[in-house]
Amino acid sequence: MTVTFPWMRRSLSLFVPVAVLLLLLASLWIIYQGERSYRTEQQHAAQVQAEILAASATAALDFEDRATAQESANALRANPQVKMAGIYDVRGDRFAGYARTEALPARLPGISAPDGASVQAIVPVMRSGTKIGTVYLAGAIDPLTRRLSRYAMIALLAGMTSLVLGVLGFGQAALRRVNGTLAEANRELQFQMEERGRTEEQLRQAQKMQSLGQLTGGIAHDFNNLLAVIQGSADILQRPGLSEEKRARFTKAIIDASTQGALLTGQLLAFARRQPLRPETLDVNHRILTMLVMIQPMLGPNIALSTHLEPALLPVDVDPGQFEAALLNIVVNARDAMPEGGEITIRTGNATGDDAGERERAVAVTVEDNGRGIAPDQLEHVFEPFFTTKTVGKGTGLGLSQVYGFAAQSGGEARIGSEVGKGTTLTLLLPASDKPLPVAPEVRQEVTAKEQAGRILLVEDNEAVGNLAESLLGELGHEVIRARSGPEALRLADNGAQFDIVFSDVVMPGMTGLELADKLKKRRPLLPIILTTGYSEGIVAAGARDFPLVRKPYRMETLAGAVDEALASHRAL
Amino acid sequence: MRGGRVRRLVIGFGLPLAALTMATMATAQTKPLGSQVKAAFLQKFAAYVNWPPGALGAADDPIQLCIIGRDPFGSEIDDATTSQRIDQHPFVVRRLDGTANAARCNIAFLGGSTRQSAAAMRDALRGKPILTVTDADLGDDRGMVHFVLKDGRVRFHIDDALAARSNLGISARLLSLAISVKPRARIS
Repeated sequence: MTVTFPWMRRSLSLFVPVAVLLLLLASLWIIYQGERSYRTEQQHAAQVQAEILAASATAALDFEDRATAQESANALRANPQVKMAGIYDVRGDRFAGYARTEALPARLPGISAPDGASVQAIVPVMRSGTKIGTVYLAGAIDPLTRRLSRYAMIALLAGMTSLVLGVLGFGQAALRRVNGTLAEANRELQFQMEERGRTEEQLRQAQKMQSLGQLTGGIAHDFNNLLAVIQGSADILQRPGLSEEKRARFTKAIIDASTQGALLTGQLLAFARRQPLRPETLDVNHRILTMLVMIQPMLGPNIALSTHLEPALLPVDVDPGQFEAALLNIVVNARDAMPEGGEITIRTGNATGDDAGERERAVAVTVEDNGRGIAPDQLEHVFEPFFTTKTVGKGTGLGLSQVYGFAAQSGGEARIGSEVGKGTTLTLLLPASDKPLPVAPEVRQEVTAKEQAGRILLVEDNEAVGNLAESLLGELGHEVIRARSGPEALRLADNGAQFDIVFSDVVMPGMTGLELADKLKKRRPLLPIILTTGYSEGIVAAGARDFPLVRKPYRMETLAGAVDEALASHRAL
Repeated sequence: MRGGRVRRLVIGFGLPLAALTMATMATAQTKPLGSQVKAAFLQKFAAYVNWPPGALGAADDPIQLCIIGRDPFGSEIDDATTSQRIDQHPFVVRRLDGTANAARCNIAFLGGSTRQSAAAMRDALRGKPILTVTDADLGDDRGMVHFVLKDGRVRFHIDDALAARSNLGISARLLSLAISVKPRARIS
């Protein structure tokens, strides 16, 4: 865009008339100068002619030879520019001469005021330093028309240039007008674009709110279900005289509901893109088999589950937690597609060629159901976040979006095929790994209080969570010192409290677990510190600082593992 | 006519100043005999003659105008030369009987005398840088300039060849006024 300042535009619009005016002034000046120099030249010519006449007529005047003097004067007749040439004696009386039109004055005339029609010259006739007479000469000036015709070319040039400048100025003015119109149109367009942008933004906002409503509704529904299970089971467990079988069943119900809740929050975190993938080389078949224990109770009595697993399945590099979440999501979707019951089949196989997609070798995990199926127009949307075919309050719309995101992040893809009334097939294609499977996961040693017991500084601002953690740690045989804030923990440490490791919440008022960890590390650099949080930001921050992290909600095993590891490393030092 | 007579009366019986006035006026007016005109011409010739170097002496030395033999001018020649200057040279009028003492003359009017004709005078001065002037009224002997009366006006012939022999240059402007010019031999 060209920047034009107002003064610039003003000066441009002034330029043409000013230039024309200057041009005309210059032309007039040239003409005036020409006229002046012409007059000067004519004056000079008259002077020279008079001097020549004075010189040639000196002797004739001196010796009073009128005839010779007349001859000298007549010699000038050949010059049409000389109107009058007179030789006067020393007393000013006419001696000889001629006049072209009027009579030559009898007495020497004075120089009259220049009249524009003639130039005059008066020259003394000298003989050896003595003035013996005077020559008077009047020269003609060309008539004005003839003089002006000499300047015709200049006038023509000036006129032409003025014309060109005028045309240029007119063109520029027209261009400026068009520019103005264009700028106006541009402003209007820009305004409309902004208006449209605002409208779209509002629409997006509305859609977001709608999606958010759907999501929170879905989450609330899911959590309510889970909480109902937990609350109901806990109520039953509180009754006295409960049989051991019932106690075990309701305890398991609580554990299962909690597991599902953790999965759900895991999905939310993954959706928020705050949970980094931690790929491991794993055997998908093994994972699926261990998950069956969890999947089967979810499906209920009306749904039959069968598996066809490829024995020589290649290993893959994926995040095990995310893989489990993805498979669960797929199975739950399949279950929800068959409210009246049906069959779900989980298959695994090695895929090559076109089946493997863009990858050379891949592992395909396929889940088939014979449920309602999905209409083609909805099929293309199923991987989008918040898209759900379930009624409000029945689903979050995050399930298949997690599947898609997990597959893509793992370098694979998710494919879906469906026929209304016949069922749906969903395939996860995961790139096969070149790495060998790790040696069979070490069998967890039985927790023995004697070996692993230690003193743990527990920092937790929430009383309920703190009590639970204290109970769990106590169950594991550890001794617990409680602190309810960062500063309190620091005080305990400074007052010489003895502990082997610190287990601290991250998000606390006043001082965060991270700040506390930093301060403790300064005091005791080798002190193992385990952080725990449910907040996604806390998770990211703790991960970035290389502190071991136990994600809330945690199971007893997870907590035990983390604490044992920390104790082991502490004791090894 | 009456005015003219009154004026003549005034002139005739006037004061010496009147005589001077009359003389001045006479140069401007052509008189039949023209002695006044000739006197004026004699003085004026000096402006149109180039003397050889040194002939005029110093810058303000007078030009010697000599009347040798008969004098037809009388006081007219004195009047004509009074207060006249050629460049810075004033005039002095000398009247001589013969050419014996004429060596320092610059312009010589050869009136002739009983003892020495104008021609003899001319021959005596031949080769000297002296402009010799003769008058037809006084005889047919001719010097470099020879006055004649023609159509009632004083005119002159010029013998430029004679002038050349005296190393005198005569201005072409003067030559153009002459009735006849005897040209000098061209230097080949």
